[in-house]
Amino acid sequence: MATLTYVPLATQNMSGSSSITFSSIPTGYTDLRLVFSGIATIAGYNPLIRFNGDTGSNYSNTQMYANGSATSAQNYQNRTYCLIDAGGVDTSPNASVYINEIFSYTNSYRKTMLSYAAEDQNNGGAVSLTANLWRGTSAINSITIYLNSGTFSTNTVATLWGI
Amino acid sequence: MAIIPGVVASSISGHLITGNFSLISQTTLGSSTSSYTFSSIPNTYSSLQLRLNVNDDSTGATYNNFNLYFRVNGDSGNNYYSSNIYSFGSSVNSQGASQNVYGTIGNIGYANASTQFTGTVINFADYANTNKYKSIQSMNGIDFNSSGYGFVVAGYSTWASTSAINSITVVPQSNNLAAGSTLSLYGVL
Repeated sequence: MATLTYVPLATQNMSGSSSITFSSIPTGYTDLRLVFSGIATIAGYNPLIRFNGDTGSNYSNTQMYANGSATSAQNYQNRTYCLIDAGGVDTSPNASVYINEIFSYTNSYRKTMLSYAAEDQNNGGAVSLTANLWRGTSAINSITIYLNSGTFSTNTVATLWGI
Repeated sequence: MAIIPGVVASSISGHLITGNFSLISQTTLGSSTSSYTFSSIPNTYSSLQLRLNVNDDSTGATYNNFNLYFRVNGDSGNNYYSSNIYSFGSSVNSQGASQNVYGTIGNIGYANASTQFTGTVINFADYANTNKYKSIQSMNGIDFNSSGYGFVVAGYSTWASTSAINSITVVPQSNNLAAGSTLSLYGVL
């Protein structure tokens, strides 16, 4: 018999904050999915992600994106965060969407996260697909989303799912 | 760059079961294997989602970049059509294959298989409908541990058959699926 899954673990409104942390994440799932719809007070700044509060240079990012009529790809080494977008969060009423798939988050290997971002910015945004690596081998027990400048606005909502 | 203190959602508990997304079958490989098959898939869902955290078991290279394939119902005929857009290094490219004997999920990478894996999500839409060909959408990727390389792939495949999908086989283009790889099949109502 199939086992029911895809469970919403927590939902948070990020209004007025530059960051949000999902902590005490239970270990009973295979993967995590972090979905958020973001609006920022200042357009164009990037939402970034860290695991377990790790601020070291333990992340690397591989990304392809489309911006207007052009496509491009980039790779970053020894970063201090996961890169999940290419264009930056827009301001109200335009909302940007971010879906982050975190695989085998409790295993003892390095962790891979796939991130899809859609940021229209009213005809000036970007779409992107990013593979992130975190070299941590501990189970992921907390996830922090933060903006590299400014704060999130009203109606910014993030939900963490267990799969 | 410091984290500015913000909202903290702590002590997560009280799990809500939605009942719309069910684990059908799952394995974590104890040893390398040439392929893995999910069989006897029930036809009671609206779509299937296959989630993979896998690598190949080759050794001695900083990275590899082979295709990752799927085959349904054991069909080895020329009935698969695939297109994808991908990046490897600093360029974005696209590729297609028609009348192939496999569908292309994306790529699979080796960057020391004992330490990290390639993440993949594949959706089989309306897989039990016997009145049309089947559409399969996939995304996958890996970063090769700050080596300066990695890939991401967004793909689409058609299986040119009206049969309901009752088995799915995952197979790498070269080498084997590595020990520690996790493969999970879900049904979506």
